Amino acid sequence: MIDELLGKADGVCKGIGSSQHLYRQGFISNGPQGALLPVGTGIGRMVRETENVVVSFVGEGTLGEGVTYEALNLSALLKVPQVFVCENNFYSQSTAQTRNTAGSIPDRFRAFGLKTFLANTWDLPSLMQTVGEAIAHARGNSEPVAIVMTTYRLNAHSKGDDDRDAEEVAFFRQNDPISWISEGNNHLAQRFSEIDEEVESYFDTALSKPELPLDSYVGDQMPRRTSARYTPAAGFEGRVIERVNAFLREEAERGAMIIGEDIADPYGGAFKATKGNGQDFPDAIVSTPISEAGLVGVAAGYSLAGRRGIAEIMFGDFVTYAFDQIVNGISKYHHMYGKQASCPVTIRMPMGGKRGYGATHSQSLEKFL
Amino acid sequence: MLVVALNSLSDPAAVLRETQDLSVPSIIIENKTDYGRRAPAVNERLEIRQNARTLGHLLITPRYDKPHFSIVTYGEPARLIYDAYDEIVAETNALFDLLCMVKLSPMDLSGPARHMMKHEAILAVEDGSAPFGIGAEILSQLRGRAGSTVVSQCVAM
Ligand SMILES: Cc1ncc(C[n+]2csc(CCOP(=O)(O)OP(=O)(O)O)c2C)c(N)n1
Ligand SMILES: [Mg+2]
Repeated sequence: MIDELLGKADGVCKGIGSSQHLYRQGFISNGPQGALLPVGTGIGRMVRETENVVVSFVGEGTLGEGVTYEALNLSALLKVPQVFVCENNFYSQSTAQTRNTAGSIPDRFRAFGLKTFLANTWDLPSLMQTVGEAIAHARGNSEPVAIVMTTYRLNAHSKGDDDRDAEEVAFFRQNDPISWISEGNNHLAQRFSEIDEEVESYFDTALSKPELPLDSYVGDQMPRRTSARYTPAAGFEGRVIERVNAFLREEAERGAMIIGEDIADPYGGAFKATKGNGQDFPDAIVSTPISEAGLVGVAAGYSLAGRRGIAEIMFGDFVTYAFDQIVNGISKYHHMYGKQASCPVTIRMPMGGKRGYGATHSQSLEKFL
Repeated sequence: MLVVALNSLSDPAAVLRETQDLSVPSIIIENKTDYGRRAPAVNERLEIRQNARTLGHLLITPRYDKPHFSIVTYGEPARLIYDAYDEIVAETNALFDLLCMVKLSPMDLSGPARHMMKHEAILAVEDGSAPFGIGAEILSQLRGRAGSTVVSQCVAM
């Protein structure tokens, strides 16, 4: 982890991810707040078949992000064993919870029908018990749950940005379990200071380590095979949409998850790309609420977990809602996680006009992709 | 991301299969009016070939005569231009090669460039708007290869 923070090749993500973008042994983090929640739902869709659960952490400030609610809704509808841990530390960067979060935090989760547990990080035995119960519930019922966990951040949000009342911070520092556990316990106090020293001294070792060489740093997964040869183009029978439909049927048969709005039978999608497929592969064709960011995130999570997710955006114009998933997630996972992750998700969308749908359903936005 | 545009001049399922088999994050640009189309009617004067590279472009070229200029495009406009080929020739009195890009990103123009440099003029045609568009990207990359000797213009329909 220290190697990673210092941008060294030995870091968990080869020094490319840095503190905000980590990926190792089932742990994944990303910079945009809330963006990994639907990705967690997608991973959870896959782990449903096992005893595992997905645990997704979110700060109370991130309850202001729309994608948070898309994920809660999708997770509940898809019956995913996902434990949403909302860490309420009373602040979002610099802004107090009272100025950021209207109404009740637990009610935000209850609104989606999630069993919602309350805990805090000062009463440790009860915290352990609550978390245990929450995980057991998610696992046993294959459904999401929430834990609203009250806590406090003892250091600055980032480097030195702290405008909180010093007395308030001192109060929580004094009452922090690490402080009172070691107070009056010489053995533990000694052990903690040894750990501090070990960490400090490791920085010197890490600083002298090499960074990733430039030619291992660049490079992506994209195809660049060139050829000067030409062959006769492949013809086809039937209409274009029937060819798309046949391809999606093959993919459903091969275990892909096809996810989009109104794609299940009998409707079969606004342009009928999945018509007839849902009947034969009901588990593979997942019709969702209107949640472009959420459904693309779910498909991405499913793909990160080793399966194939294929997302349909009903009208290409609405890919704008999924831009964050594409720009800050899917297009970066492979590289920023040190090439340890692969996210072979496919996102299909019809662009262009001429069908009388007007200004917001007729654009060609591929220039932004 | 790999960005691929389907067209109705060759089998869309083959493009989808090739994309999927690459196992990389990809975006497929489809088209609402192309959805209803069947394969194009055969035009005896034209030949439709596909470059053998991964997700290679289509090259529609006159069978019997030498073309004077190139039109480069992707997606639905490729079909519209193909269907109107004879009409355009009658109006302009000039034959042209039609190149239909399939892989839009990463944009790879080494093959098309070799081909288009043989002509004096290149027209990039796309749906939507021309500024900052795919056509502008194509022409700027081609200019990088050809210098400024080739006349080029980008139009949107
Ligand atoms: C989408 C997005 N907007 C803004 C930021 C910058 N940012 C990083 S953390 C943060 C505050 C998060 O607060 P909260 O959700 O309460 O989590 P906490 O850090 O308090 O645990 C902000 C605004 C970001 N990373 N992503
Ligand atoms: Mg917070």
